[in-house]
Amino acid sequence: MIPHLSLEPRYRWLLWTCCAAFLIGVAMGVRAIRTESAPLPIPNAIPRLVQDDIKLDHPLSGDPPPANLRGNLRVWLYSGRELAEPPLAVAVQPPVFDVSTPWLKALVDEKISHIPRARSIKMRGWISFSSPRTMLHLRSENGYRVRFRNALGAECSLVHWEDDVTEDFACGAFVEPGRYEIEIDYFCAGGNGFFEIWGTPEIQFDPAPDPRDAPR
Amino acid sequence: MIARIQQIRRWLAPRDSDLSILVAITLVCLLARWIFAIGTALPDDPGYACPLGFIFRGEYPSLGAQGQAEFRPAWLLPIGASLRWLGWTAHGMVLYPIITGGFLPLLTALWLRRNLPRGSQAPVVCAVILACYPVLFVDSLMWVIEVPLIFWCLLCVNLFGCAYAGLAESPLTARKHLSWIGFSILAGAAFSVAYQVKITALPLLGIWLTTEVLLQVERRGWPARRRWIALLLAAAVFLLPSLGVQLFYQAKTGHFFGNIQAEMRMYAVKLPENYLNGNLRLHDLYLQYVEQLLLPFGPAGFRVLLHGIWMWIALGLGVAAGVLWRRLPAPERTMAFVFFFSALGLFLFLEFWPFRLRPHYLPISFDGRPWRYTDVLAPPIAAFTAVVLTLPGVFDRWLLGALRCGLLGTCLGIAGYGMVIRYHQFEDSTADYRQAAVASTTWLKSYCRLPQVIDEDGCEQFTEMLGWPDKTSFQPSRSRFLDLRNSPPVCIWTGGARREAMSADAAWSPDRMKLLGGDVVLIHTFAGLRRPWRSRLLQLWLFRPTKVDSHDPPSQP
Repeated sequence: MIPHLSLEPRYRWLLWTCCAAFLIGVAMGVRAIRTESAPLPIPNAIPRLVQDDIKLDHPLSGDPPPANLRGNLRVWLYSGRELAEPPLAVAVQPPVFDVSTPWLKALVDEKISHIPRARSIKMRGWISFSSPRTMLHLRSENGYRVRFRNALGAECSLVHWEDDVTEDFACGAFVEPGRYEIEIDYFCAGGNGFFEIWGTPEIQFDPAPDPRDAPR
Repeated sequence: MIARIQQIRRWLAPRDSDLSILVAITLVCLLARWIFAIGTALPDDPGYACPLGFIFRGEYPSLGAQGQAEFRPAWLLPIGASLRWLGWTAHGMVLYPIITGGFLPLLTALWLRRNLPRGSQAPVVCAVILACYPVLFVDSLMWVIEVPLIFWCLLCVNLFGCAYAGLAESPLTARKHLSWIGFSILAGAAFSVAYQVKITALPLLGIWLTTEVLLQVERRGWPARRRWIALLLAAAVFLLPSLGVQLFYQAKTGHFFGNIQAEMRMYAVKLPENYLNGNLRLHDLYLQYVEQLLLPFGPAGFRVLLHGIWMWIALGLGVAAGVLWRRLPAPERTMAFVFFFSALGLFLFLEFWPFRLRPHYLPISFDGRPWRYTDVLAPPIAAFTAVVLTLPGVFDRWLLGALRCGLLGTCLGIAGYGMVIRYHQFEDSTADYRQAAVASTTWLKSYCRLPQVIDEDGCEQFTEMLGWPDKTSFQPSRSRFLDLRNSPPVCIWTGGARREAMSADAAWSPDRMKLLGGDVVLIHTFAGLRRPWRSRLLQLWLFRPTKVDSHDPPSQP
């Protein structure tokens, strides 16, 4: 190919211009990368150990619930067409979450199977608490997306996209005290769904109703 | 060896030298892509890795009411085949985009070549531009679905063009009769495959086939009515398999257009909050593609022009060609303007096609516009630029010839720079877990038998590097934080580079481990450079928890 190419004078200008300019560009790129190549220092210090710095409460441990747990979680069906209208409040029975347990809990096992596959469930609500370094845990099955957002705009988003996971899935995040909007999208309708949120035992949920809870 | 070269030269001598050059450029493209293959490096990759797991088990992933990846068999199945063939390696992962990406310059050049007078330099210049096109080159080293999409669409356009040219010829011999029927069938098949890669094939081919028909009609006129059967054949070859697939989707999802509906639903859950109340500002959204096309893009310190300066050059040449419209020779003038408006049409589609019209207008890709969507603009822009820069007679003057050399040199220099920087970004941002995957199967093997705790993005990277489809292999926990008080010793991964669009701070910091309570020992630190995508080095720790009673009363903060 190349000997044949060299016989073609029409493209000599192109060959030389392109090769030279392109190689100069590549060389400048490599040089730029090398200039910026400071290695990161290796932090060998082992973190300070803090024993019992935080206590976690496992939701399945059967601990008696603290009396100060409050929260609000509303659930409604969600589909493209209904978005154009006010979201429909859907009565999920038993209650959306049980305030007598130490965690916000939305059991939607049966409900989700009744929802047409064309739809997913959207839950919105809020949690308010004052305890520092609170850890919120989410435990669920199937795909969901959860977003916490406080009044200052600080956001904590947890996403689990897979819909083929059969084992329980838990993830958690530390959040600062305050009031958080919660938005939960279950987008894998079908299957046995459940959803739980729980926090550290000292979590203080705000019992006061708020007009912002009204479905938009 | 010399005799072999002489033999090749003798074989090539009577043949078209332009075609030889195009083949040589294609070989270089394929070789370069093979050498620099990256593998999985994008946040979207896990969405494809999961269905690939099903394919590896000999099943096809279930088709849900919402989703996207499982409705793209012409993307998943070739990747599955290459993974089977080459194993879970970088080359096994991206063989499909490497091959399809390597042919993009050739296919675009052939499109030009079929419609320009023989001897035009435009096809070769176009191939050179696309061979050095920054975003196309780097995208074809990763799982970027737009690369095979463009390949199949360009193949379809070329096959359709050959069929149409055969149809318009007169008189037709029996052999040619068969050839245009064959081209029609192949064009329909390529359309069908493109549609199964991504549904964006419909608007893309809608515009490109219209472009091709305009060019053919302008050059050859409409074919005789009795010969339209060939085009109907092409349509049938597209429609019949597609109809079968749609019926399959209907059986699985309950909707004839289950693939389109599932994709729409997937985006519907991401509707912006201010959309319903009509307070959504679209100004920033509209600017995203414009910025990606014209301005430096990427993490701080590594910003490059994704499309080089080809978009700027195309805009400038477009204005100049518009002013000098009447002075341009006829075939080149038609070609230039058809390709320019083809690119413009695609841009307008990407920018303004509505996702929703009620209760308010919402353009498609409202949830952030990935840079790779604009890859489809590269072929028509390169074709337009090549046609204008090789106008016959214009560049025979020394000054204009030198100007053209300078312009092309500048463009290619900037393209070369951008390719290196962009390649480094993706290669280095996935290097940590690539090293970790190798270590976990060799000298860190004993530690990796323990349960692993790792942040979510790190977990995805790790499992991808280890071979996601093989579910029996090592699996780190996806959890960000676990109650480890009563667990056996575990390994905890902190730091490490993060993929594009992921915050480097999403990785666990070593400080967070102090909250666990227990004994922590540093096992290994993976070296790395200071980069925007790597705020801390990847480290492996061994954690032995301190046993506590889970029913202890909570400590007071």
